[in-house]
This record gives sequence, structure tokens and C-alpha cells, in this order.
Amino acid sequence: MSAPERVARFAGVLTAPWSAEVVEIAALRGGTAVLARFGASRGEALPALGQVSLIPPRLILSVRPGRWLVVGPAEAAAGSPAARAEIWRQGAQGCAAVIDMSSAYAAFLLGGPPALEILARGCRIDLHPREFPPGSAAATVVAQVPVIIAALPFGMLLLTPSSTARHFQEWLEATAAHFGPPARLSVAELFSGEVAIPAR
Amino acid sequence: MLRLPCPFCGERDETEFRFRGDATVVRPGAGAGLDEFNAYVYERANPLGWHTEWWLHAAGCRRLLKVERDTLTHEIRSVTAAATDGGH
Amino acid sequence: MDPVPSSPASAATAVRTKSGHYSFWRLLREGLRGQRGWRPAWVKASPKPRYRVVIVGGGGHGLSTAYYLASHFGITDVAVVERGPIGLGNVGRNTTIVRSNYFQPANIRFYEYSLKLWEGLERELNFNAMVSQRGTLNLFHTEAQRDLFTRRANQMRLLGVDAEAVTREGVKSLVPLIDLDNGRYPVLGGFLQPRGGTVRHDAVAWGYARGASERGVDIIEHCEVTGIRHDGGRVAGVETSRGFLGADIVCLAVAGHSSRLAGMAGLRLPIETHVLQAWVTESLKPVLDVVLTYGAGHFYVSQSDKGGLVFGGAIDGYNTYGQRGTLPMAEEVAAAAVTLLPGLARVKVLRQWGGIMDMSMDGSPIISKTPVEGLILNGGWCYGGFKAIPAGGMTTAYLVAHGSPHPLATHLDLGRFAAGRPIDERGIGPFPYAH
Repeated sequence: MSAPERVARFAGVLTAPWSAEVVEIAALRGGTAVLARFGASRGEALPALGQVSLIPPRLILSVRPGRWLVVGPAEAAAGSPAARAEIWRQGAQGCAAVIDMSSAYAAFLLGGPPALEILARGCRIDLHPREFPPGSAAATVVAQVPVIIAALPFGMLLLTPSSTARHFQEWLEATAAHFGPPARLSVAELFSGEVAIPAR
Repeated sequence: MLRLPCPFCGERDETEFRFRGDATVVRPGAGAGLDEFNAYVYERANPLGWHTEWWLHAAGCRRLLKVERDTLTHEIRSVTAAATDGGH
Repeated sequence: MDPVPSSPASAATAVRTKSGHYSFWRLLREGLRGQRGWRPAWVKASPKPRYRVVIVGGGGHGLSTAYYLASHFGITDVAVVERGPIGLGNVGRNTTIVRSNYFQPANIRFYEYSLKLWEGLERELNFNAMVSQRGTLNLFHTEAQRDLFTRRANQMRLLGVDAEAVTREGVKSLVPLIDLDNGRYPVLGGFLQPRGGTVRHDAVAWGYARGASERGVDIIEHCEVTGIRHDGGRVAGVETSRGFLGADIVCLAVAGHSSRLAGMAGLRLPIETHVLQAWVTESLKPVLDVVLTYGAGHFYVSQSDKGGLVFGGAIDGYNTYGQRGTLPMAEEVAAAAVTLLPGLARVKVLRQWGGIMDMSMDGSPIISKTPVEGLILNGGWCYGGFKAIPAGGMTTAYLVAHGSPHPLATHLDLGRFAAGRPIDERGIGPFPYAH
């Protein structure tokens, strides 16, 4: 069964705990312009504050002024996150601190028609597409713990500190269970662009 | 519920912030005497009405914000970033 | 160490009260006479131009200070001025708990003195304050907390104050409603002060007001202080909405507003004002006969004689003079309540309110002279002011009468901050959000 077919059959929600790699780039004083030029030269333009840009198989988001998170699937073939961090560190020419934060965050992907309703049960910001269209990103609190939310074309990326990941996953699964059994897709399927989850 | 308009994140609930106290006290120089340090560490104007105070947006942008708030009505008059250069 | 002195209740002189002695026989007699013989418990006085002592604030500490000045120190040329009616501030807004289970010896002695005064209070005042020594039970949830409580209990016992360790089973038998094994913070045991309990807070204000009024103190309601007149570093009196009142000594007992009043005399205090909320549920049959405090969050609860569960938590956490509070603390306290007592999940909350607190910079109160001569401060009570009303009043009256601090309150002076000896009651360093 292809991914689009599985989504079409899927009545509830889609959650996928995701083994992601996360690299944080923090501009030092005056470093923003250097970083922007370097990103553009690699075809990885740094998004503005409060936005996420999807550069498959990775995405870059910014929820803190002068700081970006590069998030992507942990793939040995594509090199280690430390190596990727090193590329940015070199490119920043001393104007940024670049840190491999993969162990610090746990990532979840949540899609499907009830995604917004599930998040609304624990999140106080308005995630309706009118206020938070695809391409938006925010750091906030969900289910009493810090969560970074990025709206992607196929759903929501959720990042929470590793120390709160278990609680957050339990909350996500318990809340999602009200909406029917979850269908799980692979991250590769999601990023393939073949999966268009129907809007509510 | 207080709602603080963060200049970086938009309006957010007070639960995302940590109150960090009076923003008007200024640390005296190293050579200052006991009275100045006592005033800095302990003494507060504690006004009824407009109060300038620090709030850390801990669960959001993690920026320290300077907020003018009325301590009786909870009206918020201004919110600005503590670091004037934006830190980057 | 010296033991805690016993109550000097017997030192109170017998006074023929204007409202008459309250007793069973009086009740019977008035019942037979159609209740025509009752008189107001205190006189609604009008201000005179000059008093020896003016006490600002008709709450628990102001009224008890006035009462002890008149009854124990023979100073009756006293006015208590209150912005509204007496007893509507924090004395009527707290969760009515009395206890002396403190950690620092000086604090144990001070609060134990207060508890002993509570024990003799109704006899002394001839007023039913419904003092109920039902016990206060503090729970612990970790081994480290057990050690801390054990140390605190031992410290108390060394000073002759009652404290007992309670096993898990003992906790369950004292509080059958409790969930000992809640997933996150299982209860390992408790620490009981059997003599702790509750007191009907309104009656405390009324009882002291009656006692003070009948000894000649003027209780002046609806009289707001708008300024403190002082010259050459000496206080001269207070400007009020009902005119100027000259005074040799002005005593501030206005916790929540201490900074504002002290500001009128040009002082800045080591105090921030914060709101503390409290809640009461609908009436239930008796389900809880101790005062219970949670050790893994801020939550304390007791059952009132009307059956409502009275409970509270921590301060909201930012400067405010608004007597209401906001929802995040309500959520946190409710979460603690149902974690500990799951049976409460469906009980309805009847009322919520807030009181504004003097949060001092080390979490302990201030009973002290100030840099303005003749201006005395009773404040900084954080959220522990109610239990301290008798001792606070007695030691403040002592300071007013003798000009030097009461031996049990020498550590509560205002100068301790600049002198580098703040009181570390919680053992975590000076911290403005302790109590």
C-alpha cells in the first residue's frame, strides 16, 4: 500500500516519534549577515524569526532571535551531525556558535485532520492555519512542558527537551487515542512530498 | 491570566514567563558602601501602580524582557527586549 | 537554650466589659429577655486630635497590638485607624492555620509563644475563636525530605515543642482519603504537630477589637491614612481622611501595604507585595480532621466547621496589589489537591479569593523600630501572618511600651538585612518567596 493510500484510509491521527538530528546555530554579535550569506550560498536560506523552511530532507526553523535549528533525519550515510555542525561552524567564520543538540531534543511528527484539536488540548497558542499557516514556527508550552512547534505542509513537527520527551509522548498518545487508532508513517514517506494529508 | 505581548513571539500566557523582579534597581560600583549595596540587594519601591520589571520568556524566545505593568489593574503598557542590540 | 516562656494570659487584668461577659448564663438570660441586652462588641470611635500611640491597620496584628498595649502594658491612649471596616484584610482572608513547626530556633520560640497564646486566647478574651488543635500533618515524599523533617522535628523537641514522626500507615489512618501511592510523588510518611490546628479568623479580629475597645482603645474605622507627618527624623502623627491625628508613636501593621505606608515616611523596605490565593469547596460531611500539607508541591488543606475544605498554595509570583489572583496557580493547586486526595476531583469549589502579602526579602517578618524615630513597623509577614497574631501583637506592644525589642523578637529587626544576618528559615539562603 502506498503512503497516499494509507493516509486516505486513515481515520485518526498520525504520530511518528522521530530519531532526528538537531544542530543549533547561534549568531554571535553581528553574525546574522554572515550566516545569511553562507546559508544562501548553500541553498539553505535561514528563515526569519517565527518561521520554518523545508529543504528536504531537512528543515531549518527559528523561534529565538538570532538562533536557528537545523533538523533532519539521523542518517549515517549523510554524515554525522557533528560533521554538519562543522560545515556551519566553518561557514560562520567565527560569527556563530554551532552545537550538535541531537541528544537534547526529541522530535515528533503529528499530522492528520485531528492534529490541531489534539494540540489544542494542551497548547495555549492558536495553531489554526489562519493564525499559524504552514511555514510558521513557535516555541511555547504544551502539556506543561516546553515544545517547539513548526507547521509543515504535511503536519506539525514537535520538538521537546529529551528530559520531558517521555511525558510528552505519553500525553500525545493518550490525547490522540480519543481520535482513533494512529497510523504511523515513516519520516521518509512524509518528506517524500507524496503524502498530502487532507486539510480539515 | 496575564497575557504578555512578547516582541519576538507575540502575545503569550504568563505561564511561559518567569518573573525576575524590579528592573529599576541598579547595581552600584564595586567601591560603593554598605548602604548602597543594601539598597540594591534588598530595598524595593514596591509601587502600587506602574512598575518596571523583568520577565524572562523562559518557554518562548528565552529573552529577558522589560515590562511596564500596573500592579493593581495588571494593565501592560510596554514590553521591550532587555538587550538593545537584540543580542546578535 | 532557654525554653519557650509560657503564656502570660493570667497577667491580663479583669475588666468590666461594656458589652458584658459572654457565658452560657448570659445566653440563657438574653434568650429569656428576647435578646434585648446585647451591646455592640466594640465602640465605633471618632478620632481625637492626639493619641500616645496610633496603630495603622485594623487587622489581626494591629488589633492584637492595641489589645496587649491596653491589657498588659497599661497604655490605653491608643487609636487603631483602619481604611475600611476592621477585619476585612488578610485576617479574614487566610486559611486559618496555626502551628509552630519552624526550623530556626529563634523562629520556633517566637511561633511557639504565639501558639501558647492561642491556647489561652479564648479564656483571656472571653470570646469564642473556635481554636481547634486538630494537628498539622506535613507529608514527605523523598528520603531527603524525611531527613529534613526529622531534623526540624528534633529541633522543635529540643525546645520543648511537640512534634511526632508518622509512618505511611499512620498517615493513612489520619487521612483515609489520601492516595499514598500516587505515581509521581508517593507518600513516605509525615511529620505531625498535634497542637497545631485552625482558629476562626474573623473571631480573632472581633475578639481583640472587643478586648481593646473595652479597655479604652479607640477603634476608628473608615479612616484612611494619607500621609505620615515627621520632622527632624521624628514622627509627629498621621494625616488621615478624617483629619490629622498627632501621636508620639505610630505603629504600622498594614501587611500588604507596608511599603506604601513606609514610603509616606520616606523609607524603602526590603519587601515586595504579592497575592496569595485561597479556595473553599462546597460543604461536605467530615472527611478531614487534621490540617494536611503536601510535600511535593505547595498545597495545604483543612476542613472548616461548616464542612467546606479550605485550601491554598503558593503566591502567584509577581508583584501585585490586586486581591484576586490568576488561573495558573488555581490549576497548579487543584492538580496537587487531586494528586493527594483523588476523591476531591468532583468536589465543587465554592469561592476563591486573594490576599496581598508583604513578601520580605528573607521570608521572615519584621517587628522593628525604623530610621524614623517613633515609627514602628510590624510587617513582612509573607504568608505566615495569621498564626503569629498573638505573638506579633504582644511583641509589638512590648516594643512600643519599652522602646526595645521583646526578647523573642530581637531577630526580627529591620537592620538584619544591611547587617548581613537575614533569617535563613528554609535553609536555602535569604529568598523572598519563603514564609
